Formats: sequence, C-alpha cells, structure tokens
Amino acid sequence: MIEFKRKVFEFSLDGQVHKVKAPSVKNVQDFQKVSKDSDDSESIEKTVEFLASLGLPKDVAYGMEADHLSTVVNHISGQAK
Amino acid sequence: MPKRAGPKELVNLYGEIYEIKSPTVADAMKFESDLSNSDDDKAEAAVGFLRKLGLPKKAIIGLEADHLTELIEELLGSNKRIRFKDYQLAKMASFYGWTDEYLTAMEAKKFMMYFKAIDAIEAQKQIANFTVADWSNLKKPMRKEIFSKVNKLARSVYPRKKVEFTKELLESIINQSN
Repeated sequence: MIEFKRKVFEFSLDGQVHKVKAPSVKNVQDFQKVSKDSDDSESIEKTVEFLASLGLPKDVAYGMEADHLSTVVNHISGQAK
Repeated sequence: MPKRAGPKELVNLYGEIYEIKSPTVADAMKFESDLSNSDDDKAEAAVGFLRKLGLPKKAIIGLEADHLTELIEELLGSNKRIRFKDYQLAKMASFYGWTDEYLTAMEAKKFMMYFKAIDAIEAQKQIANFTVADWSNLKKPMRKEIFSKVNKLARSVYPRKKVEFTKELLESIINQSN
C-alpha cells in the first residue's frame, strides 16, 4: 500500500517554537493565483495569508523580520519540490 | 463478454484509504502529453490524471505538494524522470517483440520495470560476450572502468540486501574475530 503522513515544520523565533503545516496542492494553487494577480506592494500581505493558512498566527508573521519570513517560506517550498 | 477489471492500488492518504486503478501505459502517455501542453498549471494535469484513476478531487487537492509528485512517481514506477514516450514503446516492442496494443494496455509500473531491465539484460549479454580480443588494446585502468560500468548495469535489476546491525549480529562478528 502506498502511504503518506502529514508533515509539520517547526521553527524557533526568539526562543518560542512555532508549527507550520506543509502546504497542500490547494494551498500552493491558491497562493500562486493570488501572487500572480497582486502587485509587489501586496506580496508580504499575501505571504502572511499563505502562512496563516498553514497555521502560523498572523501577528507572529507580521512581527517577524522580512528575511526570516522568506527563510520560512523558502524552507516550506523547498520541501514541496 | 464482461470487461476484466484492471489492477488496483491501495493508497493511504493521511489515514483515509482509497482503492484506485493502477495506470496503464496509455494513461501515462496521455498524462505526459497533458503535462507538455499545460504551460502554466502542471498541477492541473496531475489532478486530472489522478481523478481519472478514481481518486476524489478533494483528496488530491488536500495532498501535500511533494506527496502529489511522489504518488504519481510511485504509481508509474518511475522515481527519477517520468517519461512515457514513443521511443520507449518502440524499444520495448523491438526488444521483447510485443505489439503496440499489448504495450499500451500494460500496467505502467510493470512497463517501467521491463524497460529498466533492458539495460541489465543487454549488459549481462555483453559480459558473456567479452573476449580477450576486446581487451588487448586497452590498458588495465580502462579495462577495469569499462568492466565495472557494464557490471554495475548488469546487476542494476537485483535489489540490494540491506544489512541491519542488530546487537546479535555485532556480537557474532566480535566473537568470530576473537
């Protein structure tokens, strides 16, 4: 039998551990759709929305340094390859 | 005459079990062509492929993105590059003497297994045909390199035995050396 189990990523921000689900096909499709339609000024907002759909609270995401936010996104999308 | 049901696959997606059709070579070739025709959304072609095999859309879009690729690779029996092209069919037809109809109706996984075996069978034949005359103009390092490449190909179809280092095994190794 072919079997798959869900993955959860953990990262620590200033000593506090946060969990993020691995993105599903639907999450990726939705994110690609909104990224295509939105301009650059909205991109952080869309990224935060994307991470929120994976379980990261918006206030945590908005409080993160910009490069840390992209590190988390890169890590998740790296897993998606 | 009743139509014979094709082979099935059981898939456990995060605790939900689905019974789906195992794809044939024709299904795989259609998927290949859909993939090359879809410029933007490759995932849509993958969703269409899995839906045709009987997996509900809800289950497909709920898959983690990398699991979607892994599932397709598993169903097609191809773990590196998914390729079901005309030349592969031609090579299989010429090597095994099978007809086009027989090959396209074959389970994709089985097709891939037979396709991968061609290199091994040809390499095994090559090893049997090596003669002293083949080696006379080659220096030892080159001979070694060629033989090792052909030998590796010839053995590529045999699964490697995994040795698990249990406490008992380690003890028996230590006892033997003492």
